[in-house]
Amino acid sequence: MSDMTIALLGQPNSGKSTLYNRMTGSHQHVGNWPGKTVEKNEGSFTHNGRRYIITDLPGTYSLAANSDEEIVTRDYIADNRPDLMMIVADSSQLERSLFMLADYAGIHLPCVLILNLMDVSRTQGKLIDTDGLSKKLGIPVLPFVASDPASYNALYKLLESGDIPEWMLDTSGLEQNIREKFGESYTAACEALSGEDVDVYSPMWLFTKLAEGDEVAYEAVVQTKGIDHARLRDVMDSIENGAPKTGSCKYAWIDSLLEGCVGGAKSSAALSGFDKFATSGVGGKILAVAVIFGALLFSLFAGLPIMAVGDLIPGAGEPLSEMLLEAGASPFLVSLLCEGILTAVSFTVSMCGYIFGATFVFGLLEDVGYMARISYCFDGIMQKLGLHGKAVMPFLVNFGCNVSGCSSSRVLDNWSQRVTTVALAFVIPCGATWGVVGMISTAFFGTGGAMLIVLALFAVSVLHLYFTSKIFGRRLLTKSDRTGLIMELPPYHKPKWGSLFSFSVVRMVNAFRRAIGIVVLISVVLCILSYSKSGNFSDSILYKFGNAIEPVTIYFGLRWQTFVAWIASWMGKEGALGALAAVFSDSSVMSAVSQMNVAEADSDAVREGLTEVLTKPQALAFIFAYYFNMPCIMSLSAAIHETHSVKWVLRIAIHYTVMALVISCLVYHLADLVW
Amino acid sequence: MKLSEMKVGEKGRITAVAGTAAFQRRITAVGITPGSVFEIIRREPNCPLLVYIRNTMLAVNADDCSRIETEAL
Ligand SMILES: Nc1nc2c(ncn2[C@@H]2O[C@H](COP(=O)(O)OP(=O)(O)OP(=O)(O)O)[C@@H](O)[C@H]2O)c(=O)[nH]1
Repeated sequence: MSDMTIALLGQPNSGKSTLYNRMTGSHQHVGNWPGKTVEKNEGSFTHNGRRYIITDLPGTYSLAANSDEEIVTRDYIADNRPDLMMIVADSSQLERSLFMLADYAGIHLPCVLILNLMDVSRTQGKLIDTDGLSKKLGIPVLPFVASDPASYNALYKLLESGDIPEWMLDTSGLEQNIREKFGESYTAACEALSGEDVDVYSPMWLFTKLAEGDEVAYEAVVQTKGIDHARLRDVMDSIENGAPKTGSCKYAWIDSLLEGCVGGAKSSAALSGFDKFATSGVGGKILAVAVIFGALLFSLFAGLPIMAVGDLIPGAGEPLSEMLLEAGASPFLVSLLCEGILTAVSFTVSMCGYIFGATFVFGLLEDVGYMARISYCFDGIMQKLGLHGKAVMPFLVNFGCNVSGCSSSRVLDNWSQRVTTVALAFVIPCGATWGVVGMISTAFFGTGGAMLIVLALFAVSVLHLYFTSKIFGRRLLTKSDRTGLIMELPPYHKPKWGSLFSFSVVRMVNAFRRAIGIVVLISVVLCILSYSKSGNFSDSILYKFGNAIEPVTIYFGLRWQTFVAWIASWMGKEGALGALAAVFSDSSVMSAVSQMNVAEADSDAVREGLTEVLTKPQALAFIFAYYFNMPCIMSLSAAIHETHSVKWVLRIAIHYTVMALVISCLVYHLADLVW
Repeated sequence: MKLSEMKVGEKGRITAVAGTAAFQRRITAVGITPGSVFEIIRREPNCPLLVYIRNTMLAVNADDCSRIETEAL
């Protein structure tokens, strides 16, 4: 028997992914839709000798062409014409959830309706007559509990039915509503469309989309022959407020479907006690900050095992280099391999710990539904930056790791918002930054001084954010891109640990693959520059170069040592510590960079060296330059991946580099007046 | 009366949705269309409005609420 293709369509939180995961098990492939930053999930399973290929389409509220997700979904349906569409609806929020079915109605492909979360609607006291619904719709309607294995048997049986091609949705009720609402316009438009399908779309479907002002549908129609385009345009131009009108028709249809098929208790509007607190103006914000703080701590903890592996890698360098040297390899190449490349690998692996931790923990907050409450609480603040509440997630994740922060910018509605968010969120330094800031500020200014410095850093961050939002917001966000927050506060859910875990692993591995090449390259270059035959750092090119340009860098308050450290932090924020260790221990930079986490004694040496070489204003200048430096290369590559724009990411990187130098310059010269 | 002017605890029905086509599509997809019955759940300064509509708790930006016409029930 030939393979059967199935696509899962449904609103967010309808339980599609749970169903998909259960059916496909480990036979899954995660990729990207071509040209879009939308994850593509395709899997397969075999049942009674037949193979089923199943695609989990992105969860969206409708099939309007509002976002990349929706466009991807529509293109997939029209281009691939799956053998069966499984439309998943949340039976505990049935009215709204069926909107996807209503928006699908008129696409001529076989479909079934799966009413998921029946256990939840049952506890709500809701009674749903699925047979009655099935009769009205002309397609099978399956009550379902995605978390319960028993549900799947009925589904498999359905798939084995020979009647699948006949499961066409009965849309006469909807069409009736549309005809009544639009009258002459509808009849005329259907005539202009010559009453025939375009691709898989019925005239009714096209009419509603055109009435809603859907440009993508318009493009499709324009290219179709046999349509009276002039007449169609005349008719459509005369329609105002199309979307609210078609929307009313669709909901009226849903109401008529549910009438007589749904009984029992109405679900209640009240907020739970917890939510009352979580959405209160002040209390909600305090709770959110506390949760975020806990999440960040936990994310470090979750990433620890991976970071530990990363830290172990440089340990292999010494025995390996001894072995190679004994075997007669050239010392230069050995140092390149054992110091340069190993360090790069070690860095990237350690960074994976941060990526995993941050992705996992914030994914968890999203999964249980609390993230929406955080977005709600901080919507007002994000609006001041020209964004809205959903943009808060990348900012928070950035506190853990800028790489995962970039990936989480996907929740935003459009490209401009995504780029702006990425551009602004880089003001937030990742977890690795604090180690260096803490060490240097306490070494120079004591604990009290360090706290003041942290406050000053925050204050400057706010100004930086404001300034950056003006610069990027003005160029990126046109009026139509500045959409306000419209977001569901979903009911709380139990997390899906398994898929959360694999999702975080996939994100981590992808980031690793993207970044490893470039990190190795940079590290090799640094390694070559800091190599000297004598083994003394002071004979290396980097040393000479550093000394030569110090007259320039000192203008920004950076001695050549701290300047090298500043550059090294492009590779990864911890890189700065290693570079400092190198220049003060007079060994090769890269070997020290790689040992940054290992030796306590080393950081004592760094501290001593630093306090000898730097004045207080210079130390302060370095802290600011370092803190506001552009994020590491891995983050930039993640940003390119998310925004598909090398040009904008380069602009962002240059902006941050310049800002960091300007800030450190100001700080240096101001502090110079004081001390 | 505009949605943005309604008080917490009040129930109403949507009568019209203004704004750009993109906004209208977005708001329609989450269940705010003429005819929908709603209840105002929460209004906090500097936060979106919380509305319960079609079995769903929605957070809607305050500016956007002023584009939505309602009648009290
Ligand atoms: N009680 C119950 N919970 C369910 C059921 N199906 C899914 N869930 C839970 O509902 C939540 C949302 O499920 P998902 O599978 O992530 O929903 P989705 O439609 O894929 O959502 P997106 O990933 O946003 O597209 C998860 O926490 C699931 O564990 C069900 O039948 N009963």
